[in-house]
Amino acid sequence: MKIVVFILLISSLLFSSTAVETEKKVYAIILKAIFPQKKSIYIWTDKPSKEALFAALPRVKVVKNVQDADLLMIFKDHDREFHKKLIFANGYLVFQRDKGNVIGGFYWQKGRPNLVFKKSKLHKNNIKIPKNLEKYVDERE
Amino acid sequence: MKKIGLLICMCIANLSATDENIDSLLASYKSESDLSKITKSESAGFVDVYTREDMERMQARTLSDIVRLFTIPMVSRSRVNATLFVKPSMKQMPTSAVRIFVNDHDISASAYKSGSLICDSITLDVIDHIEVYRSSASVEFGNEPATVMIKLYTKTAAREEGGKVRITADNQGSSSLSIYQGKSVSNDFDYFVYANANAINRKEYYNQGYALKSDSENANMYGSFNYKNWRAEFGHFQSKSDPFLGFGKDATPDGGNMDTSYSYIHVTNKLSNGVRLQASVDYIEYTGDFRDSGGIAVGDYGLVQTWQEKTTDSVYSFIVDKRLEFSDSALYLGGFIKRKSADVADRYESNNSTSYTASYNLFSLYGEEKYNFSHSLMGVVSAKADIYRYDEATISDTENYIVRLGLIKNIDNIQLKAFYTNTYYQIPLMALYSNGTNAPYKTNGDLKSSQPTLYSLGIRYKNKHHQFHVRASYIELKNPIVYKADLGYINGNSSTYSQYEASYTYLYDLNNKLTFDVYYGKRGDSMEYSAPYGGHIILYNKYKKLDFFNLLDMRAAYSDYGVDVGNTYNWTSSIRYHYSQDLLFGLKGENILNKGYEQVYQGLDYAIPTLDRKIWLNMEYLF
Repeated sequence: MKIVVFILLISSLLFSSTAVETEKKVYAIILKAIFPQKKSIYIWTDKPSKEALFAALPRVKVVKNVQDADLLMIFKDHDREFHKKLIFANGYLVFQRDKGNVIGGFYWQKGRPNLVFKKSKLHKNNIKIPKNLEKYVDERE
Repeated sequence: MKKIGLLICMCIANLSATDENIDSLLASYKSESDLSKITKSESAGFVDVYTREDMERMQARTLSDIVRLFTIPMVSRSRVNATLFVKPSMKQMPTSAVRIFVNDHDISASAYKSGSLICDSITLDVIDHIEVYRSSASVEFGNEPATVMIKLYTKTAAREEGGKVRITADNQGSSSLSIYQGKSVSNDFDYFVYANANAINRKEYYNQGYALKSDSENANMYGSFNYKNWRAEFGHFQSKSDPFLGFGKDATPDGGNMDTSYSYIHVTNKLSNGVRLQASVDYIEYTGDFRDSGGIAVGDYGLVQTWQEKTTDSVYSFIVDKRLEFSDSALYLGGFIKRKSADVADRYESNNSTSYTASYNLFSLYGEEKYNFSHSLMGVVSAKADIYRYDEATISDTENYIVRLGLIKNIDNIQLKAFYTNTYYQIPLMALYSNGTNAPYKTNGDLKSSQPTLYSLGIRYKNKHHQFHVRASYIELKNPIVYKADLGYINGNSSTYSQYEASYTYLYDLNNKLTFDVYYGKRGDSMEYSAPYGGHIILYNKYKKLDFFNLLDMRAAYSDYGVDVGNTYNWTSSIRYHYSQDLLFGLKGENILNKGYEQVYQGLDYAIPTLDRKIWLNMEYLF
């Protein structure tokens, strides 16, 4: 605890706490769009340091096994296919290389955070995005 | 004045903020995740941050556009059109008092002359954000001594994943082109590369029929490559410019030019045990061709009409450091070895010349302890020992020490900072050695370093919409280095200096903010060689697809060399239109009132504006 307080004092946080709160809000909107009705959303991530953030989201349970997950939050480029599991890309490299069932991405590009849903993948997976997010749907194949 | 205040407030109030939606969440996330949140160090001194958003909205092109926003030091223009850092009421700061870093690389670490020669060549499209530390010491950054640190942090491939082209042009025929690209190739490897070229035309002035020209052409490149725990960076600056007033005693230049070329490579490896290893090489080549009908004083050779100067600087550095974190404290330990050399080959008219090489080794050990007395009180103790060993027998080997104590106290929204710093300014080789010829400068191998002692106090209040701070420093300077035509470089008498500044920022929302600041500096002997006080009004606004930036830089009247300069007001204003997220057009007016700050020079019976009245057009395309 003291270490946390100390780090706060010397202002060398990786991100400010407000950035983490905002990031949570964005992910909450993304998950609500993908799983509007589901009571529990099972998420697996390849970035252990993000598990706490996802676990704090409404309806979300973080799982240790890919097979148990409804959605994979992927930050790094992988060679494995993840057995057609729904993937949300959290890095440009993952989004751009589009390996597996990548339905969208939240990543940095051109110096700004970007939110994109892939129309073809949404259609393929029978996901209907709410109207207020339609401007973030990429029509390209 | 009341009407102007009311107008500004109305402008802010009318510029709208929208309800929280995804767009505004993404904008908030961008602002809150600014890279300065990672790099900023509150314990390193009084820190001001200029974010990427700030720089883009003000359409800043070079570092000079940012240093104009500084309170203390102010910025001016040297005799040879280089950036000159000046404290209020003072003539100029010692050149080694201000250091400029690109990431962890000190680009002002030359051996012979000042690194400020390239300050104007540093273009900002490559820069993500700038941190300016004052009342600082070098220890926190593990480098050579200075009291003002300008830290430029470059953009990263991870945030860019793309590129940008920017073209600017002004009404005097200047133009500038920048391009960069950053890309992650794999999880372990990414790169960022940048290139820029500028042709800058400046207004011409005349003295006794001689033209005072200051046009310049410069180019720079930068690259960074990250592979796992390795990082390699390179930088190159190339500049060719007119000599402006040159160094003639009557400021009557008769042609001539200056060429500067500076390159560096910096490699960093962070080991798994937290030890960081850095190695770098700097190479600076500078040639100056100065011609002056009234004569240029070049030490023992007296007055000459032509002086061809060529110096080659090289700096080899090896740095080791490590940060250790404990339950209630953090310890930073480091050391470096630097090898600095200068080759000098000068020619005066047709019959005299100077040629020599001088070099030295600098060994440095340093440490800093930050101790958390309570959840709201932190203490900082820093110490550094620098050992100079010169190759030339006529230069005295020296040891210099830096000690710094600091306290930072947080009480709710209030932060108090107090620092005591006892440091020194490095002596450039040009003041120490000239191979017995005493030209172009009368050197002094027994010079002692100037030793400033700073007592600084700052208070900041910050909440969601308001930020207010007051800072004050008292400085005692022992052994100031001065140059006198008859005696050459000598240590002068001790002096004192006091400086005060206050600022208020009203942050209406992410897009609209207003800053007022005022500053004042007083020499112990009450003499005034530059504006003793001044202030800024800085306004950032956004309305739909338009960004607005307005700056009013005000400085008080002063007089020097018998020339009076009245109160000055530089109004700079810009507007930027977002045609789309990736295509932007801008228009910027500099020194619109043509009443901006003017610098007085020896040999000239009038003052010259530091900034021309100009209109810039700007186009940016992200890909």
